[in-house]
Amino acid sequence: MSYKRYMLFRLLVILVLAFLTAWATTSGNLLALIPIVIVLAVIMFALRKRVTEVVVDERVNAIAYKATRLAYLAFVILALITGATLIVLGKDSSPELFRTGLILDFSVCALLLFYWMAYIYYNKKLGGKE
Amino acid sequence: MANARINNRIRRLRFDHDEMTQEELASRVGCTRQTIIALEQGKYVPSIELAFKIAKAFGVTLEEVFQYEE
Repeated sequence: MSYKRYMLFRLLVILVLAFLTAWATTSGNLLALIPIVIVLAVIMFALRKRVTEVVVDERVNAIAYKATRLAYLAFVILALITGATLIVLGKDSSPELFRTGLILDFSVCALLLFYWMAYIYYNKKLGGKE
Repeated sequence: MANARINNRIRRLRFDHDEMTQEELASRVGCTRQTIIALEQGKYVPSIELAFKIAKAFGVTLEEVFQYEE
Protein backbone atom coordinates (compact mmCIF):
# COMPACT_ATOMS: atom_id res chain seq x y z
CA MET A 1 0.00 0.00 0.00
CA SER A 2 1.30 3.47 -0.87
CA TYR A 3 1.71 6.12 1.80
CA LYS A 4 -0.86 8.36 0.05
CA ARG A 5 -3.49 5.64 0.23
CA TYR A 6 -2.62 5.01 3.87
CA MET A 7 -3.09 8.71 4.64
CA LEU A 8 -6.49 8.57 2.92
CA PHE A 9 -7.53 5.60 5.06
CA ARG A 10 -6.23 7.37 8.14
CA LEU A 11 -8.34 10.43 7.37
CA LEU A 12 -11.33 8.14 6.94
CA VAL A 13 -10.68 6.46 10.30
CA ILE A 14 -10.34 9.87 11.99
CA LEU A 15 -13.67 10.97 10.49
CA VAL A 16 -15.36 7.77 11.67
CA LEU A 17 -13.86 8.25 15.14
CA ALA A 18 -15.06 11.86 15.26
CA PHE A 19 -18.56 10.82 14.19
CA LEU A 20 -18.72 7.97 16.73
CA THR A 21 -17.34 10.19 19.51
CA ALA A 22 -20.03 12.77 18.76
CA TRP A 23 -22.67 10.02 18.78
CA ALA A 24 -21.38 8.52 22.06
CA THR A 25 -21.25 11.93 23.74
CA THR A 26 -24.71 13.02 22.67
CA SER A 27 -26.30 9.67 23.52
CA GLY A 28 -24.47 9.47 26.86
CA ASN A 29 -22.96 6.12 25.90
CA LEU A 30 -19.33 6.96 26.62
CA LEU A 31 -18.29 3.41 27.56
CA ALA A 32 -19.03 2.28 24.00
CA LEU A 33 -16.14 4.45 22.90
CA ILE A 34 -13.54 2.15 24.49
CA PRO A 35 -14.03 -0.88 22.17
CA ILE A 36 -14.48 1.48 19.21
CA VAL A 37 -11.13 3.18 19.90
CA ILE A 38 -9.44 -0.21 20.35
CA VAL A 39 -10.86 -1.57 17.08
CA LEU A 40 -9.89 1.58 15.17
CA ALA A 41 -6.38 1.50 16.67
CA VAL A 42 -5.97 -2.12 15.54
CA ILE A 43 -7.21 -1.19 12.05
CA MET A 44 -4.74 1.70 11.90
CA PHE A 45 -1.91 -0.55 13.08
CA ALA A 46 -2.76 -3.17 10.44
CA LEU A 47 -2.93 -0.52 7.71
CA ARG A 48 0.37 1.00 8.82
CA LYS A 49 2.01 -2.42 8.53
CA ARG A 50 0.90 -2.67 4.90
CA VAL A 51 2.71 0.52 3.86
CA THR A 52 5.68 -0.69 1.84
CA GLU A 53 7.51 2.57 1.10
CA VAL A 54 9.90 4.19 3.57
CA VAL A 55 8.00 6.76 5.57
CA VAL A 56 10.24 7.31 8.58
CA ASP A 57 13.99 7.64 8.18
CA GLU A 58 16.84 9.20 10.11
CA ARG A 59 15.98 12.74 8.98
CA VAL A 60 12.41 12.36 10.22
CA ASN A 61 13.79 11.02 13.50
CA ALA A 62 16.18 13.96 13.74
CA ILE A 63 13.28 16.37 13.19
CA ALA A 64 11.21 14.56 15.81
CA TYR A 65 14.14 14.73 18.25
CA LYS A 66 14.59 18.47 17.76
CA ALA A 67 10.85 19.13 17.98
CA THR A 68 10.54 17.03 21.14
CA ARG A 69 13.48 18.81 22.75
CA LEU A 70 12.05 22.23 21.95
CA ALA A 71 8.55 21.28 23.14
CA TYR A 72 10.02 19.77 26.33
CA LEU A 73 12.05 22.89 27.07
CA ALA A 74 9.13 25.21 26.34
CA PHE A 75 6.80 23.15 28.54
CA VAL A 76 9.25 23.00 31.46
CA ILE A 77 9.90 26.76 31.43
CA LEU A 78 6.24 27.75 30.94
CA ALA A 79 4.89 25.26 33.48
CA LEU A 80 7.50 26.26 36.08
CA ILE A 81 6.75 29.96 35.70
CA THR A 82 2.98 29.41 35.67
CA GLY A 83 3.17 27.05 38.64
CA ALA A 84 5.30 29.43 40.68
CA THR A 85 2.97 32.33 39.83
CA LEU A 86 -0.09 30.33 40.89
CA ILE A 87 1.59 29.32 44.15
CA VAL A 88 2.46 32.94 44.97
CA LEU A 89 -0.98 34.25 43.98
CA GLY A 90 -2.95 31.55 45.76
CA LYS A 91 -0.82 31.16 48.86
CA ASP A 92 -3.00 33.31 51.13
CA SER A 93 -6.17 33.83 49.13
CA SER A 94 -7.01 30.79 47.00
CA PRO A 95 -6.24 27.19 47.98
CA GLU A 96 -7.32 26.00 44.50
CA LEU A 97 -4.77 28.19 42.77
CA PHE A 98 -2.13 27.15 45.27
CA ARG A 99 -2.90 23.44 44.71
CA THR A 100 -2.91 23.83 40.92
CA GLY A 101 0.45 25.58 41.09
CA LEU A 102 1.87 22.81 43.24
CA ILE A 103 0.58 20.10 40.89
CA LEU A 104 2.03 21.93 37.90
CA ASP A 105 5.44 22.36 39.52
CA PHE A 106 5.55 18.78 40.81
CA SER A 107 4.66 17.60 37.29
CA VAL A 108 7.69 19.48 35.99
CA CYS A 109 9.84 17.89 38.71
CA ALA A 110 8.53 14.43 37.72
CA LEU A 111 9.26 15.16 34.06
CA LEU A 112 12.81 16.25 34.88
CA LEU A 113 13.26 13.12 36.99
CA PHE A 114 12.10 10.90 34.10
CA TYR A 115 14.44 12.77 31.78
CA TRP A 116 17.34 12.26 34.17
CA MET A 117 16.61 8.51 34.49
CA ALA A 118 16.27 8.12 30.71
CA TYR A 119 19.52 10.05 30.23
CA ILE A 120 21.40 7.76 32.63
CA TYR A 121 19.94 4.70 30.90
CA TYR A 122 20.95 5.81 27.41
CA ASN A 123 24.31 7.09 28.60
CA LYS A 124 25.08 3.60 29.91
CA LYS A 125 23.60 1.89 26.87
CA LEU A 126 25.62 4.00 24.47
CA GLY A 127 28.87 3.39 26.33
CA GLY A 128 29.30 6.67 28.20
CA LYS A 129 30.88 6.84 31.63
CA GLU A 130 29.30 8.26 34.78
CA MET B 1 34.17 24.09 14.12
CA ALA B 2 31.31 26.49 13.57
CA ASN B 3 32.30 27.14 9.96
CA ALA B 4 32.78 23.46 9.10
CA ARG B 5 30.59 22.21 6.30
CA ILE B 6 29.97 18.88 4.60
CA ASN B 7 29.35 19.22 0.88
CA ASN B 8 28.17 16.45 -1.37
CA ARG B 9 28.02 15.54 -5.06
CA ILE B 10 24.83 13.51 -4.93
CA ARG B 11 23.06 15.49 -7.65
CA ARG B 12 26.09 15.23 -9.98
CA LEU B 13 26.44 11.51 -9.30
CA ARG B 14 22.75 10.91 -9.94
CA PHE B 15 23.01 12.45 -13.36
CA ASP B 16 26.19 10.51 -14.06
CA HIS B 17 24.25 7.32 -13.30
CA ASP B 18 21.73 7.51 -16.13
CA GLU B 19 19.89 10.39 -14.51
CA MET B 20 18.85 8.31 -11.54
CA THR B 21 15.78 9.83 -9.92
CA GLN B 22 15.68 10.97 -6.31
CA GLU B 23 12.96 8.41 -5.72
CA GLU B 24 15.14 5.61 -7.05
CA LEU B 25 18.14 6.63 -4.95
CA ALA B 26 15.90 6.93 -1.89
CA SER B 27 14.54 3.41 -2.35
CA ARG B 28 18.04 2.04 -2.90
CA VAL B 29 19.41 3.49 0.33
CA GLY B 30 16.21 3.10 2.35
CA CYS B 31 15.27 6.68 3.05
CA THR B 32 12.58 9.10 1.89
CA ARG B 33 12.80 11.28 -1.23
CA GLN B 34 12.55 14.32 1.03
CA THR B 35 15.80 13.27 2.69
CA ILE B 36 17.56 13.08 -0.69
CA ILE B 37 16.21 16.54 -1.52
CA ALA B 38 17.44 17.90 1.84
CA LEU B 39 20.87 16.30 1.27
CA GLU B 40 21.21 17.80 -2.20
CA GLN B 41 20.26 21.22 -0.90
CA GLY B 42 22.83 20.90 1.89
CA LYS B 43 20.14 21.28 4.54
CA TYR B 44 20.79 17.94 6.16
CA VAL B 45 23.98 16.05 6.99
CA PRO B 46 23.48 12.27 6.88
CA SER B 47 24.58 9.72 9.42
CA ILE B 48 27.73 7.78 8.61
CA GLU B 49 25.57 4.73 7.83
CA LEU B 50 23.42 6.58 5.28
CA ALA B 51 26.53 8.20 3.81
CA PHE B 52 28.08 4.77 3.23
CA LYS B 53 24.83 3.49 1.71
CA ILE B 54 24.71 6.42 -0.72
CA ALA B 55 28.34 5.91 -1.72
CA LYS B 56 27.64 2.20 -2.22
CA ALA B 57 24.57 2.94 -4.34
CA PHE B 58 26.79 4.93 -6.71
CA GLY B 59 29.65 2.44 -6.49
CA VAL B 60 32.13 5.05 -5.30
CA THR B 61 34.03 5.81 -2.11
CA LEU B 62 32.68 8.00 0.65
CA GLU B 63 35.13 10.79 -0.20
CA GLU B 64 33.87 10.90 -3.76
CA VAL B 65 30.40 11.75 -2.49
CA PHE B 66 31.04 13.81 0.62
CA GLN B 67 33.69 16.46 1.22
CA TYR B 68 34.48 18.00 4.57
CA GLU B 69 35.35 21.69 4.43
CA GLU B 70 36.61 23.80 7.31
